[in-house]
Amino acid sequence: MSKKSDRLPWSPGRMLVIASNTFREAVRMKLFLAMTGLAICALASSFLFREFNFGSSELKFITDFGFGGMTVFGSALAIIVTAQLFLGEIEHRTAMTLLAKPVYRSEFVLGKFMGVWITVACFIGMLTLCLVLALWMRESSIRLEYPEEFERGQGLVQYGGIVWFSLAQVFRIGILCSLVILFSTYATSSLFAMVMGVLVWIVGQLQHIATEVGQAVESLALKAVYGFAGFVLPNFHLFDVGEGLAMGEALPISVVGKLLIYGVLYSIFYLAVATVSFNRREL
Amino acid sequence: MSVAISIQGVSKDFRIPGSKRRLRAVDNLNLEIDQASIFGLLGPNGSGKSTTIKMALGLIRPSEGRCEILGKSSLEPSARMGIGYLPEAPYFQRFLTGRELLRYFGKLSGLPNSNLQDRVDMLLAKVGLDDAGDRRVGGYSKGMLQRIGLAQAMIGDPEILILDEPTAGVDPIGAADIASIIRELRDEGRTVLLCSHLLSQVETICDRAAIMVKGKLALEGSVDSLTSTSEWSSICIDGLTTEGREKLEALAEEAGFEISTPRRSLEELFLELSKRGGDRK
Amino acid sequence: MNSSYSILPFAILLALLLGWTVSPLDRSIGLQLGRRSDVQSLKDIESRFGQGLTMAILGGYRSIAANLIWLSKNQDWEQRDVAGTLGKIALATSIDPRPEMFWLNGARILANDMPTWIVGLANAEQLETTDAGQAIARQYAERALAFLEESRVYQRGNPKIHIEAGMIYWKKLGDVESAAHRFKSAIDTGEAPYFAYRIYGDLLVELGRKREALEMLENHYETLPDGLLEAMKPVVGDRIRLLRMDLQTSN
Repeated sequence: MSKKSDRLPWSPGRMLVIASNTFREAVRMKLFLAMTGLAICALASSFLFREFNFGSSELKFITDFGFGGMTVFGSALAIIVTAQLFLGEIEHRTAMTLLAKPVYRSEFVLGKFMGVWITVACFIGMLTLCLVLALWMRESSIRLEYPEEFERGQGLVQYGGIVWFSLAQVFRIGILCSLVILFSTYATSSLFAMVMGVLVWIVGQLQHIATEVGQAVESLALKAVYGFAGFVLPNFHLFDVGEGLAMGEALPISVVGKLLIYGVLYSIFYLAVATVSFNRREL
Repeated sequence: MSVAISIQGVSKDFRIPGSKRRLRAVDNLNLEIDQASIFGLLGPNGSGKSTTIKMALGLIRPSEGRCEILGKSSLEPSARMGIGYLPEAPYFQRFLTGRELLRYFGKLSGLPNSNLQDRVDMLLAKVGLDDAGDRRVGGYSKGMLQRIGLAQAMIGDPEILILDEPTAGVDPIGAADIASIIRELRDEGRTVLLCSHLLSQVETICDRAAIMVKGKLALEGSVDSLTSTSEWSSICIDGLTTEGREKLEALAEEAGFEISTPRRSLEELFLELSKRGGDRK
Repeated sequence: MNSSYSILPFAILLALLLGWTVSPLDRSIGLQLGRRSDVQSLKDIESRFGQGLTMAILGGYRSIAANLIWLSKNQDWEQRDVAGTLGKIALATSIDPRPEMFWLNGARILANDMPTWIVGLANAEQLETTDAGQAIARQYAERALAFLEESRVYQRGNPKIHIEAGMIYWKKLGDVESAAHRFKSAIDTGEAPYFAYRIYGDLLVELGRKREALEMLENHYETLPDGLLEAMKPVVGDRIRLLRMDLQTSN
């Protein structure tokens, strides 16, 4: 029999093994495949709808479809996949078999997070590629029809802006995944975790209004209430960095850096609380 | 012989939702399981066996007392370096092949990559799944799931194995194979804690057994001592005819003795104790 | 549910602390993205809340939803259904307030088409000749102005909104003062089309502020490129000469 050392060091390797297995399971989920297909079809359908587009350039219209897929489908995927894959392990009791091995609960929590986050990041990456391809195809045909528009040598689409937007969504999804994992550590059903995830998604989008209202109202009590709401949840609206990015509006690189810091801080916080919560959970 | 699993004064209370009362699932349990032995843990449904196993695995925290695995608190992840666990009715990710499943748990058990492949191949052969190692676990029968579950319990080369219903759903031949593997493990110096409702199996495999009823330890000892009664003697006669038996019974009656079944099965004892609520007397 | 309730107060406290700690980062990002806190009234809060909710749920898909609603409005327009058309205009702009076309065309439908639907095409002249007709025209012109006012939160710095409002004040309400004010606002955005300057000049003349009109046109003339048809540099030059003559005569 092999010797066992007395102390078990915390292992990023074990965390990555769990993450890798989670990723493999996630990309096989019918939901993931359905959402990816749906988002790509919706993007492709923007070519049909562009004839009816009013008041915004058709390229921006196509971009809206791509960005919409990332935000709507990406967020839905993050919530559902995280809840199902985390709580699924507990419901099927595979978590018991896994945690009966020399694995820290924090490794399990972080491994699950990494697995689902990378899954949704891949989804956003795929959608970004499809969007870039769609825009490039349309821009090329416009270039053939109206070469004079391109005489200054500048394209109509800023592909770098699309990448920045996608990156911002990946950071936002990180916060959302970590929140759903937190709910999953004490929930007994995946439905509860999903409902809470949706609520937080919506409230997080509206959080900035609570902050502004808190500043505008006179009453101290109302100020406290709105201030509480404004501070206790992350501001997802920050990550709506502007659909105009693709059309040349500038986004300072420092904003991307700040969004990364914001996303990382909140994700670490929620994962830390999730670890404490899961350590107390009896399986 | 040193102690592999030590359960000292362990109790576990669960909160009843919507009530201030608590349910005592395990009550002041004291148990020591020696190394290199096969120990059977028996009890009716709701007797606290699963709760006890979960405490031994560190999956839940005792309300009172302490569980130790090879001298370490069961709550420490390092204590689980020496444990392999097969849950009841095991469920694994369906998309993994048998080989991939063992590799996954092998990595989590800390096996280096250099050893992993050989160990996986060896275990698949040991449990009789070498032909099915590349098939997805989702397509396995119940018996195959038990076998792959046993293999994953052994993947980390553990000193202690905790097996919950290891032969459930397995055909008699497969059950005999598993029983043989369990004996081999004991002969290698490992400790096996076995939970089973197949009392005849426990009776044949286990060195010692304990019966839990309503969270308390009702009885504990070697299987022989549990199943024999001091008031009874037994004689084994080979080739006794019916006529011969009648003569012996007549002689015994004349001398004032009673002849009856010299042993009772573990099953009988189990049922008797369960009815009495754990009191042997 | 397992017992994690005792960590909840600590988690909330830490969340508050984290929120407070990152609030400068939050503000900094908002500033760099050009977002201003401009909650002026409960109505603002209501519209921002609705916008936030729509954005949260539909994301980028709101533009197609709004466009489809705008398309369906055409059927109500053809049937001269006032309530139906109004409802769909309001819905399209609430789902996606970004396209200026929704606001401009919506205001035009309100100010120009709906009064005619009310009185009937055959009686359209009543909108100018009878008191009742004029009241209807005025009512819908004011509704159009209120509609354009709603757009200002989302169409900040868009001169076309001011120009549209200016035209309604001028042509529908006969309020030259207010029209001039709105055209001035359009010019102040720095992106007003050339015709806005000419119309503003005409309005100032109509208000008797000829010297002001001359000064404005002279400054504007300096910026006009030669040879560009829509700049109408010769026309502006002619107006400047006429104004100078007019002012000399007055003196």
